[in-house]
Amino acid sequence: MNDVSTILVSAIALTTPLLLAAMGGLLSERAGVFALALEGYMLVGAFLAVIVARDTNAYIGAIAGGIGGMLLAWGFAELSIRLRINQVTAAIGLITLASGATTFFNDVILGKTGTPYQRAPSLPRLEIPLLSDIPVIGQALFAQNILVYIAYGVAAFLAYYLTKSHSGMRLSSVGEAPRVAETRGIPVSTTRNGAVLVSGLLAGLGGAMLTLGILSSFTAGVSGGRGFIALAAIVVGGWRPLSVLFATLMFGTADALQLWMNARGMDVPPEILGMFPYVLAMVALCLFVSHRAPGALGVPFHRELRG
Amino acid sequence: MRISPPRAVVAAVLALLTSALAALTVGVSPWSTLATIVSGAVGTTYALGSTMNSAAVLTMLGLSFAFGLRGHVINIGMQGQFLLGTVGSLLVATSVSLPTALHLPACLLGGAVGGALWALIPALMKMQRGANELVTTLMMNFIGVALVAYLLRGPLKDANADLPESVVLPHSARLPIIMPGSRASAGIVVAVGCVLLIGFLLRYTRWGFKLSSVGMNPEAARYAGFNVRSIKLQAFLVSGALSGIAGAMVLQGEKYRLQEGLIDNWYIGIVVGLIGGGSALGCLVAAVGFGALQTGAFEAQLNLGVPAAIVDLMQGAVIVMFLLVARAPDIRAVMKRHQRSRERPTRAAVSRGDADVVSTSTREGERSS
Repeated sequence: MNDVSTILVSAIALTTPLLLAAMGGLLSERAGVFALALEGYMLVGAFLAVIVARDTNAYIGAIAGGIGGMLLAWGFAELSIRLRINQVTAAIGLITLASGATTFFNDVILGKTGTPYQRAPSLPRLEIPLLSDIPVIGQALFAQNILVYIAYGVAAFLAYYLTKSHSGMRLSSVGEAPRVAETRGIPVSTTRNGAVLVSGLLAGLGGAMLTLGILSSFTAGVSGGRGFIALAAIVVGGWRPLSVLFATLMFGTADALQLWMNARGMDVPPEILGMFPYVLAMVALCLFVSHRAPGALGVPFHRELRG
Repeated sequence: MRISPPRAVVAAVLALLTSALAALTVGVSPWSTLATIVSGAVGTTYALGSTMNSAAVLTMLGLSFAFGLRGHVINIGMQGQFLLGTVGSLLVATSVSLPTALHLPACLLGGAVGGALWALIPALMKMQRGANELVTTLMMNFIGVALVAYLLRGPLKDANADLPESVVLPHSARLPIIMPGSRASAGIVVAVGCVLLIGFLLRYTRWGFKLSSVGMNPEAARYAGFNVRSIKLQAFLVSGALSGIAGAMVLQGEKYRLQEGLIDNWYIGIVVGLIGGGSALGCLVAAVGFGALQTGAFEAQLNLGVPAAIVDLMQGAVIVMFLLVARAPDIRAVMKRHQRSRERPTRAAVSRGDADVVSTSTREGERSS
């Protein structure tokens, strides 16, 4: 393995949590619900995945991670859609709760004397015969774990679903003009609930990828702002699935590059290198300003209001 | 997110109960947890001082967030602005030597400048390129943390220290202790002063009126001939400066040297700003509540062996309980399984634009109180 393929393998792996979270967030935002809570879903997913995987195996752990993210998303849907609480407030509340609860129960399960992190089994790599032998890109694209394939599958599906399918159009109309959608007989709140639950599931799987696919352990605050980076990727990608996919690839590659440079012992201090993905996100946000946000993003919907 | 006092009490009690139940998982009785939290927060002079210190910092962060909101800016970059405030304060403290009477305000000003400069970057990005400040300020937090980590290992490191920390502040730059027998520093006075000043500015000055007009309805403000861009920029910078002063306060009043991880509960500032209903005095009240919670929970961790993270858990519980209690009438409606919420906006409110709540507005929910 030469340097390029090493970086590629880690870039694809590091992109995966971002991609899963960003695709979930994209679905939620296209339906008009702000996806700030992605960070919380990822944390819960990352934690539950490890806790369950320790006693069973990595696959069941990953499923548990997805379900965990979905549970928190259900709470967010109740607060923001049913009770119409300001979405930023509700998201901050749930992120706080998620980070508090995961840190607390991580301490409880480890006991006060334990090491500060949980070891966990990792998801096995699945080599696709023939394809994984392609030079340079083979290992990166065709010798990863199941969640990586799922992530790219989800991205491909969403690219079709949101732009070509009837049901995806209906979902977008709910985010664009809920009042109109309601009069056309599309159930706005139900659609939004579904989109938020799926976003929780995907972001939870993203968290599971982080702990079971990359680190094989859980530490407090392991998501490290990746949920917010995913949010930036959605904005940078202008709410279009394929553009969002490229944005996450960019951030994932930046992450891989800085880790690789760190490992190689470059002259640049590691703290400065660590800023790279975030600085890149800032620059990208300035370069690709998009005014294509869904029309009703973040606005609570009152069914009985006749505007 | 304005919430009436009786409801706030109900929410606080519910959150305490939730956390006490969480303590059961480590085999500590809920009642002793509660008792320890309360006595640990206000039981002794020393505890009271620590509570007030925490409250002062949270007040500043809450003010910072609330002030931004008033000018239609969602600044959630308080962590980065706080940290750059500590750096600004440290630079002033260590580079010039002045008598205390001048050095203290100079360092606080250094903090304000540091915070404002860190806020200037996302502010310019918003003005020039329309980049969403909610995301950019968050990114700036991560960059700020990494920057301080680097500075403490490089240019600002105390040559004689093993750990990544700065030199100790000279005595002339330290905020004095204002309550004997505790660690309560004059930062509390600074925070209360800022509350009064901001409250006055927003309520009684032309500038405050302009700012609030922009916050309520930027379009209308533009028609009224206000320079909306420049007002938003001012709101952003003042918001950053307030967080920066919070950093200076912690450095000069509590730690006396710059270390890593000086602010890891910064997001509670958002909650303080929201629960405070965007008013300066409201921030102060909410901050005292959260400050007491932090100090008390810390005590519970020391004495009962509850994991330190109980603090985080409780804060999350408090926020969610507050949200639920603020919406209690709605919850009742949901329980009754009938769709109509009791506080549905009137048609008049819609035509005023009340229901067209941008995700930034905190006015959603004011009708409930």
